[in-house]
Amino acid sequence: MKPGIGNRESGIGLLLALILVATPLQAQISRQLRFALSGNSTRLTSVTASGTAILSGVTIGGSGRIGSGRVSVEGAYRQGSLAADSGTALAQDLVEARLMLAVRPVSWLTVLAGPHARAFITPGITERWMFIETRVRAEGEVVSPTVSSHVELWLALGGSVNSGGGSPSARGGEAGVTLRLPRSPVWGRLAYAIDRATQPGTANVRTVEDVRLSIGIGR
Amino acid sequence: MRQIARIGVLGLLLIAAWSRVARAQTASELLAGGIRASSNLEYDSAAVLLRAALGRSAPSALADTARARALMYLGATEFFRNNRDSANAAFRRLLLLAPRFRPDQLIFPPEVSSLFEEVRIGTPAVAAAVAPLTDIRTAGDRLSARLYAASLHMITASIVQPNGRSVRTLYTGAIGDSLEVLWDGRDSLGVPVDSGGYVLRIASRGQTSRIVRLTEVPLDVRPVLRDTLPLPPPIADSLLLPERGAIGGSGTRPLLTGLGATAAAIILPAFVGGGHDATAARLVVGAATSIAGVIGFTRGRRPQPIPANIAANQQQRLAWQQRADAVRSENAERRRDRRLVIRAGASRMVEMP
Repeated sequence: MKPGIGNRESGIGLLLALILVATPLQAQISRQLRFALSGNSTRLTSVTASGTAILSGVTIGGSGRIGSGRVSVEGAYRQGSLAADSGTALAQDLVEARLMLAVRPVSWLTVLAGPHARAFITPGITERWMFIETRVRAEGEVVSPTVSSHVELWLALGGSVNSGGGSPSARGGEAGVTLRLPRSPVWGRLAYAIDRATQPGTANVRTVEDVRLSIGIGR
Repeated sequence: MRQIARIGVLGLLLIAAWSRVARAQTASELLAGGIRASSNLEYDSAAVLLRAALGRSAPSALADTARARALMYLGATEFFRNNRDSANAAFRRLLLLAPRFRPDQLIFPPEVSSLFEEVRIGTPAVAAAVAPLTDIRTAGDRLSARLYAASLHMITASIVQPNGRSVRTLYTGAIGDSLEVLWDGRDSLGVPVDSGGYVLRIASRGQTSRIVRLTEVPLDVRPVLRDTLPLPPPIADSLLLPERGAIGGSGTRPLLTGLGATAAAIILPAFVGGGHDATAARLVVGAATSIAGVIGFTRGRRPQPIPANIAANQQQRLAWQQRADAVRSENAERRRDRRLVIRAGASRMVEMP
């Protein structure tokens, strides 16, 4: 059994719990309930003292949001296996989860904050990065009311790495376009995300890029 | 001889004087005088007075009932004067005037009544009584004509046009005392007749089946159509909401939103830092947002439909259509509700040659 928050069973259970709780609450908390499944083409650039390795693969995950009024809670989880494109790096599993408190001061702007955990799992070794991050998301309609686009930026305010210690610094962002079916709660999203985390005092840098395709329901 | 001549002249003078006196009196007074003279067995004077009364023309003519009485007394008077032909003629005139008339057995002796009966049996005639106004509203309404016969004989009752063309035969057969014929305002094919003049004709046939007499009642048939309702006026344009309006102004905002997402997708690796060689797949995302921005820009410059207003206008149009359909249905019902008003004139009798 693999240790830590990167435990896949725990992650799947969290997602299922979100779905099971969200569904009966749909009638009471309309317009603030959303969940989605996503598939990511993920590329990991891992820089260590011994060199740079590029791994890629497909990760599968899901996300959900539940809220009322201007306040909501958003969560996301994903996992997958990455294989080395070059170098001698071992294949590793990527497990990632985050839970954010979101506030929407205006209709097009959302501010989020919360913990974000990411684990790189190789046989015998789990490298776990934990961030406390803040995010800002701007959304706008492009072709009303079916197509909208968004840009999201995030910055780690603090964190930890289980290997080597220290508080890593990280920043990242996402841009994408969402298509909603007319008179339907179903939507699809294509997005590009990138984030870069560095461990202080070491040469460790992890850059994760995703091209994400999501299908969701709800608003 | 001279005595006889003197008496003759005196008689003529007396008659002339009596006639002059008679002309100065009204028809009713003459009738009364004639009846009085007949009762006093003064048959010559009675005949003069009764003929004078019958000879008066309008406006001083006798009414039908008085005329029938005068004819009855005249017939009896002529019978007692041994003028049988004149008596027959008077009784025939009486039966043509009032086919149902019967002499009072208490006034007139049996021989007079017998003569009257003899004439009655040989005079096929019919009197028709039709209401002056008949309104045929429903399928069960009819024009009713009551026919009274002087004696048993064969008749044919029909509706004809003034030119004699038959419209519908109502009855063919015997009439004894009276019978009623009905007409629903339709021709022999069941089609409602056109507006115009018609005649209810009762043809009386003699013993040889030849038509001897016609009784005719003029009829004026007028269809009455109910007024139809007007359709509701069409919805004024001022009452309809605009169904198209520009959304997002000129379209610049959607274009900038799309291009902003495109720029973000391209420069995010630089924002993240580290000189990272980013995947070219981000350009696909950037292209998608750019295309969406251009589409939003072009659509933003076109008036966009306003669904709420379209739905509201549709409700108004639907409500108007329902009102119009209700009016059309009511008007169709009113057109089917065809009334006929039939006015009957005074009946007349025509002797056939």
